Parts: sequence; C-alpha cells; structure tokens
Amino acid sequence: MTKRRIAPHRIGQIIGTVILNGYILAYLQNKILYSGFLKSVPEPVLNCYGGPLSVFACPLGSFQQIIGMKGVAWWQNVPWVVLGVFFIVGAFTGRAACGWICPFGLWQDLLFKIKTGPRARLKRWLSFGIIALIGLLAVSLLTIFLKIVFWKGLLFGWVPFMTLMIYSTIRGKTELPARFSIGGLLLGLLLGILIILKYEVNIGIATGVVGMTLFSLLGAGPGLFIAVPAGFILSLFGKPLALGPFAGTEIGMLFTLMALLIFILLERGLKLYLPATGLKYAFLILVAGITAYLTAEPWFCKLCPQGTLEAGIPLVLWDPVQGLRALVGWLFYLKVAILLFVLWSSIMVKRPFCRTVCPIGAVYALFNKASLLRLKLDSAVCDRCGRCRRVCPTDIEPYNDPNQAECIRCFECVWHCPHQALKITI
Amino acid sequence: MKRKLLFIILTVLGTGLLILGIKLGMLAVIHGFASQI
Repeated sequence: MTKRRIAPHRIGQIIGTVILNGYILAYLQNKILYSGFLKSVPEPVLNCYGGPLSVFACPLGSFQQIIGMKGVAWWQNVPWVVLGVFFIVGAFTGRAACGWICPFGLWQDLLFKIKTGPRARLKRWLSFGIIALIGLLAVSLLTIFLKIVFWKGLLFGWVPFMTLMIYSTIRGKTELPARFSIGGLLLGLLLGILIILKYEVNIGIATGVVGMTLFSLLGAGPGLFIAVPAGFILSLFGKPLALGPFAGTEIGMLFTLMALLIFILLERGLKLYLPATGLKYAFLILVAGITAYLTAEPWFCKLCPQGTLEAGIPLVLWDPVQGLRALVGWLFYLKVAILLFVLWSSIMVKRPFCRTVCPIGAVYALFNKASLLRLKLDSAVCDRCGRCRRVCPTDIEPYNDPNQAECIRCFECVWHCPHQALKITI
Repeated sequence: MKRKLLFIILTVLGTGLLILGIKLGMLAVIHGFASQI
C-alpha cells in the first residue's frame, strides 16, 4: 500500500482559499463585506468579492464592471489592471493559479473524491447518506431562514438533487462530454432572445445562458425536444410584438423553423462541433464580454456558482443588515440550482466548471503554450502507462502534450510518474 | 527561443497595462454583493 500524502498543490489551494477569504472581521464587526484598499486589487483567480470574508477583487467581476460602465471615456472601459494581472500571471505560470490557488478548484477537487459507482460499495452509500442528510439540513435551514415552505424546498431542491445523486451512485464517475454542439449553443441563445422579446431582459439572459450551456453539451437534437415546445408555448404569451393579432403564433412558428434550421444545417449538415473545453471561451466572449457590455451588469457574476457558494448563500443565511433575505427572488433560486448542478457534476466529473465554463481558466489557457513555467516530457522513458492521466485533476494526457491548454500546472503527474518522465522546467 | 521571446513580450505588455492602469487610477471596480442575491 502506498503511503498517502497531501499533494503540494492542495496545500497551496488551502492557503490560497484562506488568504483570499480571510476577512474574519466581517463577522466580528457585523459588516456585510470588506471594502478597503485591497478590494481594488484584483486577485488572479475566481473568488467572489461579494463574499463577507473576501479580501480582494475577483478579476472577472471587475472586468465586467469596467467594460459595462456607461457614459465614461473609452479608456475608462478598459480593465487595464485586470488585463495586466492576467498577462503577467499567465506569462509566468500559465494556468498554475487554477491548480494552486483557486478556491473553486479546491471545492471541485474535494467533491470528486466522493466515491460513487459499483467499485465504491459501502463507501458510496455512506457518502450518499451523508449528502442526503446535508441536503435535508440545507432544506431545513432554507425553511427557517428564507421562510420557504418545507415541501417546496424538498420538491424543487432536495428531490432533484437526490435523484441525480442516486443516479451517480449507481452509474459511477464519468468523463466530460468530448465535444459541444454550436447548434445547441445557438438554440439556447435563440430561446433567450425569444424570452427577451416577449417577456423580460433579465429572465431572457438567464434562460439564454442556462440553455446555451445545456443544449450545447446535450446537442441540438435533444435540445429541440425541450426548446421548441417551450419556445412555442412561451411565444403565445407575454408582450405582443408588432406582428398583428397572431404575433404569438407567428413568433412561435418562426422560432420552431429557426430551431429546426439550426439543427439541420449546423448539427446534421455542417456537423459543427468543438471540444467541450472550448465552451468556456463562449462564456468569456458571450456572457462576461458582450452581455456585460450591453446590459452594464456583470451577468457571469449573477449566475456564478462560486459567488452563490461564497457570497449569496452565506449573506442570505447570515443577513448582517437584517434585510438581505427580503431581496431574495427568482434569480437567487436559479443560482442555487446552478450551484447544486455544478456540485453534483463535480462529484461525477473531474473539475467540470474549470474545464467547460470558467472564463478566467479560458484566459490563462491561452498563455499555457508560451508560459515560463512548464512541463517537459522525456518521451524516451515514458511508456504511456496512463498513471499521469489518472491523477490529473483535469483528466488530460500529459504524454500527448504536457503543455496543453487544460493543464493547470498542479504537477500531480510529475510527482506520480513512475519513470520520472515529466519534469518541471522554465 | 521563440517561446522565451513571446514570454518576454507578454510580460512587458502585462507590466505596461498594470502600470498604465495604476497611473490612470483604474484599479479593480467592484459591485458589492448586489449580484449575489
């Protein structure tokens, strides 16, 4: 039996999490959050600045705030310092910040340690039981603090989450879908645009983001079964558009036609797919970029599971100024649902959020090929045994390309390689 | 060699952006907790 040890990057993650979220004075002084000088300094990783314990500024939140400001000179819409941090950290270390500092990376790594599937046997049911109890506790807390009727919490939160858990307990761990469909992505966006036109901007954007993620990973085919009936029914109600008395039906038919065209042209005709890890670039450009610029609101933050975990939920439960709970609306419940889904998928798949969604990971990934800190493979001694892939938190094969975009430079492959084929170099 | 050159260019560019941002007084901007509830 091999001796267990704490991975060096795990120590870095723990220290990073504590330093980035070390404002314990928030609780002592009953302040909502720290707002001193350090809050204007961007940290290199995703960590919500709205959290009561947060010390620094999340670069992604700040990026969206700056590009979305209205009525300012052009140079005030450029996030100079945030870009500077990205360039310097990326040039020196590539994606190492994702592996060594990021708190959300730590949570995902730990969740993946939960045993599932046929090989885990007793442990899987034990961990399942613990999660079921935690879920019940969460619903009870929501009932007490948010005045949610208990059965609503059970029906909409606990039951779906537990269903997913039972599925994963039987099914076991899985791998990330290999590719995402551009047709599915456009289908989600189309549904979002329809809701913006017929109902409300905020609900439309939220639906568009969730739809684009789900449909792109499921594919435009399965997406049609959800989006087309939903889109058609939704188009019958809401704001009338200037298209005559049957505007709802016409818009519904147009939506159905466009959805089918997307499916036939992009999914079946051109077969437009990209690797699933490329989805995070769509989040960077469409959500953190274009949507934040057009709406002047940080839409990635509004749906970010890290923000919900470290800011939204703690603030609502703690409620230091006695009034935050009254602000809870549909967006908060959607955020909690997204968080639950991300937490569940982190049990099933290695770092799903970092690999498919995180825009900061997407930025650093661009630097991985050129960064100073890198890995070197000695092909002469590597026998491609696959040990490196098994220990890799992002499930890559370093023997194919040790410096590929998904490598988070945690160096687990280096420590575990039985032939010392991988070396850290500059 | 090409990679080292690229690294130097990116570092210089990043440092330039950082210094320019600080000179312009454009440090990080935060929105508080409003987006989280």
